[in-house]
Amino acid sequence: MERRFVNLLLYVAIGGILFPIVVLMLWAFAREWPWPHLFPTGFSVRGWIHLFNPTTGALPVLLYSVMLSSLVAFITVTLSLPAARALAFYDFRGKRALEIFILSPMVIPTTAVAMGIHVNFIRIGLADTFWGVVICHLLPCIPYGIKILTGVFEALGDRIEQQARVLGAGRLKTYLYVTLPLISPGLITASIMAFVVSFSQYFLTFLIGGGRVMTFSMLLFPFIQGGDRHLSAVFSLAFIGTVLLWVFALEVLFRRWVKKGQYFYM
Amino acid sequence: MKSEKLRPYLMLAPVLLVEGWLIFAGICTALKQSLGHFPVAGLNGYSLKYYIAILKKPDFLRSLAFSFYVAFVSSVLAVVLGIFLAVLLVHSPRKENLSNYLYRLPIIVPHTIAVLLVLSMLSSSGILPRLLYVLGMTDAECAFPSLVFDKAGIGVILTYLWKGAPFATFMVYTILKNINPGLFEAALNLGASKWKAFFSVVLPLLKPAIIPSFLFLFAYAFGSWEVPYLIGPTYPRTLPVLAYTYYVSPELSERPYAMAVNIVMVAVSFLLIYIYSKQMTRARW
Amino acid sequence: MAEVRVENLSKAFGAEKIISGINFEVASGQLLSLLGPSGAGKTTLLKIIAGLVRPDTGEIYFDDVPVVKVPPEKRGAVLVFQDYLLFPHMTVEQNVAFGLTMAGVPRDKRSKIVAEMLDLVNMKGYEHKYPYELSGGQKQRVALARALAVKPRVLLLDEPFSNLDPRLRESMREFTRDLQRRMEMTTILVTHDWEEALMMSDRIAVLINGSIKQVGTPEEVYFRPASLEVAEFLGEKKNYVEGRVKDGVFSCPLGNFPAPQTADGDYTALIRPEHVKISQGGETSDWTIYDVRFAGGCVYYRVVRKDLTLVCAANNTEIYRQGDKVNVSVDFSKAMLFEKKKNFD
Repeated sequence: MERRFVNLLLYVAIGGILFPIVVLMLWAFAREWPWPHLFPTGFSVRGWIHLFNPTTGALPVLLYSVMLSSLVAFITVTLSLPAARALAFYDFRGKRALEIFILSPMVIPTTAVAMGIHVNFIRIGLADTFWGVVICHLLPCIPYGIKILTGVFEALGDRIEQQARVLGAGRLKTYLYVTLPLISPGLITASIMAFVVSFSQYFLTFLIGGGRVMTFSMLLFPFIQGGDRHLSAVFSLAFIGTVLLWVFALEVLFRRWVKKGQYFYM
Repeated sequence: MKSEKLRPYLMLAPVLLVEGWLIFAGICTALKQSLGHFPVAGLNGYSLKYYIAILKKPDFLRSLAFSFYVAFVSSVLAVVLGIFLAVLLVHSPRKENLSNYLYRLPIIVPHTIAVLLVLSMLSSSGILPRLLYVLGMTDAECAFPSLVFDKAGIGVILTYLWKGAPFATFMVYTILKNINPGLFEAALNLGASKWKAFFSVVLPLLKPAIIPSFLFLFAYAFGSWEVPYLIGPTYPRTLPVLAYTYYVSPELSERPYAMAVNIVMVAVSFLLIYIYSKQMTRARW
Repeated sequence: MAEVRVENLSKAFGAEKIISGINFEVASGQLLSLLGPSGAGKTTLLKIIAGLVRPDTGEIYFDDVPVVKVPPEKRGAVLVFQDYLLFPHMTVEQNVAFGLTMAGVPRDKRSKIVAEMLDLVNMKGYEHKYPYELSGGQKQRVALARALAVKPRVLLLDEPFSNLDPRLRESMREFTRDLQRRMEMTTILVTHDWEEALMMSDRIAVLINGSIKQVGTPEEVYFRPASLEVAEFLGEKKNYVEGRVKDGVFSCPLGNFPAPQTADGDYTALIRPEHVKISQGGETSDWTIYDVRFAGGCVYYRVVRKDLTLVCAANNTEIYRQGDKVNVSVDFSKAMLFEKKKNFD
């Protein structure tokens, strides 16, 4: 294919994907946008004031939500690390079946199991609690963590760890000085996916949290449902912005911990 | 020796415990209540009558068909578009440029916001009808056919497509960029046309990306509640919306219906898992 | 430096037997090659000695002390992998210092040893480079330095030269052998390259299908292979001539030759190409040059007679052409006789 043609098609496609977001940005600063104008007819920051106004409590919810999802991401990665290592490096009886079981929440609809979990959580007192929400968020997050980290471990191979062992590093030291720094890009990716999945979760939070555990997704939902385009645009942008900021902060944090030059796979 | 054999199981144990607990809690409770064992509502004993009842309801059957239709159409379109975009990306002269990151943006945007985006494009006050009006192709706000909250589920499908296509692109691109271009050239060299070479050499190699993407997108579209709730028609409802309606009904006796619908969805997902595992064992070159 | 003794090692993965009944010894300061085709279990054996794989049976002794239960990090058997496996997130200096850091060697002593090692492998000045900035040969030398820095009791080399291009391979072999001799480092080298094994080793253990077929000096293994299998594996081109021994005389289509102390029966004689001599023949000569392969330092010919084809390696002082009539003489004192096995191919 002609190169220019390829590029043109590509830009059209990417433009098509991004165009709605541009429209969203216009809505976020529109006072009114009557039919059939192609551009808003007035400028307004009403939604942004609403977002930042301490009396509406939107910002604390955002922070609370970030904290909750960060915790979910942290637990997800912590639990997924050994499991992914086992799946990548070991051969054992029942491996295929266990792998499929572990990844199954990617396919089993959360809606379908959420109601059962809800009934169960009510019984044991986890419903309407922070920890209840955190635990049920693990269900859709863990498969992503496992999938990503298994791939990373497979790419890394177990021989570099063996090399460290024969040079005199015990299990723990090998893990700390060789394995973790080398898989750090994968750790970042897994954390990001877990964070995004948790941060986006509406139905689970709403059902298990019962409205007591207020996340940002739950603030956003009624605006979209209610049809206030301006407010929902502002909150959506805040949502996307928060995710991007979180991703950026994580990268910076990791880069500090893992010094320069450590991003190279073999 | 013994401990060495147990090690992988110990490493998997935390994840298995958490997931096992949630999945079994979820499915077992749903199964019990769907079979009519619900002491709180004064229902005891097990029977299949709720399943039989919903299978006789036209509402349920319409919902089942609608869910299948929405999930199938949206995921097929997403995968086809994904393959197309991935091919474009691979052929783009500057491979690691900005477009490679930009197209992935929808992956981090939640479905609820995707709904908002589709609404702002296609609803009667959206950008598309405005554009058509300005171009003189329609003459009033109401003249534009409703593409959201519509019975054909176009709004729902487009929402899933906007979210799903970049995901499929990402999956396909990861494999496509590692396929030796020599294979394609070898096929051309052996006399295949470009299209034939693509369909008979490249496409089969992409199967490990295409099948899982399709199954995942299908499963999500089939079982997600937010999108059809926000942008779908009031009738027919998708299965998750139907289940939710029964679930929140003030009549506790409706609950077994909700759970029966849930179990039907779980059964469909088991079918998808079965297809996936079959596929995984076969495609190991 | 430790003497290494391996007794009766076996390992199976599931139903698949990898190695069985392995016995050999490496004298202190010597280099032993484990030579064998790929899939013979060489790397598994090396990993067992390093402590990375538990054997099913058997014991390994370093200076008469059993080590099978000693974990790899405490064993002092350092393995250098085929693809060097430098830690990509560490500089050359950090890589070489790794083992010392793990052992808790203080900083000043550490940097002294690292400098010494880098000097030893001619890598001074590369301290702050990252592995991705090095060439294959340089990576290899850093890997060697890293292994030697911890003063291993035994050095284990897994196909160390196979990833290098031929010219570099030659010089790295010399370099490594030289270093090993100088440091008197007890070393086990795994290779599938018989020339490499012949050139580098004090002794060679030939490993085929998971068991050791012969242990001996390079000369012994080359000139007096214990079996046809071993002979097969050493040397590129060979001649096999079938014949029969009766009363100490081997008769075959090439003639009758003395075969003292050999029991009567059917035998296959293995004749190396360098032991087949050719000379200018005349119209009456039986042999004709069938094809010529010029290899620089020597010339390979295939010569044919009605019933026989022989491969011959001759020097390059006189070069024959295809179709030339030649005389052939075989130095049968260097030939090896093996009892004929049924269905051997």
